[in-house]
Amino acid sequence: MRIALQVLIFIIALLLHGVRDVFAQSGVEPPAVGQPPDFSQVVGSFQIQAEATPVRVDLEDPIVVTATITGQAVEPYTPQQERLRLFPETTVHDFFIEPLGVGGTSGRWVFSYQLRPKRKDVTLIPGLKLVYYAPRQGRYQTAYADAIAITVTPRAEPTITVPGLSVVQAPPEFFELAEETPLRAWGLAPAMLVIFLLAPPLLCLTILRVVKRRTRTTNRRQRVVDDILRSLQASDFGKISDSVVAYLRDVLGFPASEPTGAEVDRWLKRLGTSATVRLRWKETLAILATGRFAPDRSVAEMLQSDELCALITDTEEEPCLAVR
Amino acid sequence: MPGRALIACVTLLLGARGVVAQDALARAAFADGKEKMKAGKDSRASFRQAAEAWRQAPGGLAHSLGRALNAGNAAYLAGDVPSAIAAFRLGLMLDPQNEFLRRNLEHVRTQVRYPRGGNGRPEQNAWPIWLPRLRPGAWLLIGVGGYMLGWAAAMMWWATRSNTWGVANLAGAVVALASGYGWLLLEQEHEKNRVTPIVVIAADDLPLLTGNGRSYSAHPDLPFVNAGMEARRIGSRGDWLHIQFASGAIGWIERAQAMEVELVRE
Repeated sequence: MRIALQVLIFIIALLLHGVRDVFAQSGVEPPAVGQPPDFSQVVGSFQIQAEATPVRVDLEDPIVVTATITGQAVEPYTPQQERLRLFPETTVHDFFIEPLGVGGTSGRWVFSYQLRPKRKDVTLIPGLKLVYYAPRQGRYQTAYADAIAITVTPRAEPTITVPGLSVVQAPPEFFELAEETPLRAWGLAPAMLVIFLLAPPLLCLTILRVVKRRTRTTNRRQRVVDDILRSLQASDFGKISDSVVAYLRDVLGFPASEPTGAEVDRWLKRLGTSATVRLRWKETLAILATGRFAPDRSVAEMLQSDELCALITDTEEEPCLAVR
Repeated sequence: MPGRALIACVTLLLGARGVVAQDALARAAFADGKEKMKAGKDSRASFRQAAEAWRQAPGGLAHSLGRALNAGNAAYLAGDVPSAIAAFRLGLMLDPQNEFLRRNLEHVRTQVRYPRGGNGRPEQNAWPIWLPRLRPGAWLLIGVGGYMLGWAAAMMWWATRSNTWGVANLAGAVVALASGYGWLLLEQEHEKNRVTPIVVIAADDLPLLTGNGRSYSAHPDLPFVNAGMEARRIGSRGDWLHIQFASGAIGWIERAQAMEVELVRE
């Protein structure tokens, strides 16, 4: 009887184990159709919780996140860190994520991660989620952990811990040596300054004075010539004769009061006048002499005032007389 | 007599050699400092030695612009900000428009701990922005040249009544006036440095007092001054200097705690 009872118990146990195995094996393959992209390759029934420490860090300093998964897993689909996809896709934009290690036992799996915030405006670690296949329900399900609030502060400036050490930052030009050329004095003696200030105006005034004198001489000469030319328009022979003599005396500087052709010719030659002009003067004075001494002035009246004006004008234009 | 002549010659030779020797010593120390800095070692002592050698060289820092610049650079690299500022200010007395001195001085001033609110800051350079920064010698040449050309153009204009010469005369006058103005500004600065020399504070957290004694109270607006701050000496009495900052604050400070920058040619 006892033996039969033991055998019966053994058979029942075998049956139960087998049923469990059958139950476990039947439908345990997570279906490919409808499989979520963040399926963590676990089958069974699970809950997940998360903790983080510290929750106040400087930028890019580490936070250790511990994810604890509890429940029943179906072999071989137990939680494995390399297959888990606990963090939402957007987490990588805010954190650097590194797996740290695995702990716990069957039925309670503990996974550690190191998260380092990338930006100062990150304010929380998103809630972890575990997507698993539940064979009893025959569908994929998700377990969630709560989000964890964190504070990210700017990184502090580094401090020099060596007492008395001052770090000198200098541009490259501080390391270049200049040549030591002795300086020359750049001052100006007062006497030299006075000379520099007075010399140009004095020089200019001197030049202006010389130029003015020349201009005055030329103007006076021109006025005399103009008067003579006007007086030559008169029809009276005596006045014409006087005008010619006045020109020779006042303008050309001829000393005699009754010039002859030969005398004027010599005088003009001395001045440097051209031969043509001298010949014309000679002829003109010959006619004037005839008119002066001859009682009959009809010859003299042949002398045209226009010709005399032209002669005087041509004489004035002689180069040797223009510079006088 | 021959002995005295010999001594005089030897002294002369030694003097000349002294200049060369000091400069060589300073340059060697500077080079040593650079090497140490490259190797990541403490180079301040070497740079300090270089700065001191240049200061002690015959003629002092007023000997040349190059020496003032070198001594200032060495002092800064040795961590001695007040000495660096003093050397650069002295160099700028020699050549107020030197670009290297002005640029290095601006950099060193960034290391000075000025009080909040702008009190105690150095005086701003009031050079007109439209006027080129030229040396005094350049202003002199340009001014004299413009003046002479202006007169010559005036004479030509009087003779020919041509507008071109009139414009040339005007241009010459403008150049001469601008040069004269630039020269005047430099002369004013020179005179200012002579009458009220620059004083550079040599240490941090020094009290600026209302009188020439430690029993006097601190200045109400500027109670403490720091190393590298610049002021002008408006008086002195015994061991105390009466100084004025560009912001207008006037007070007294101990002579031993400040560096006076005066251009004294040997």
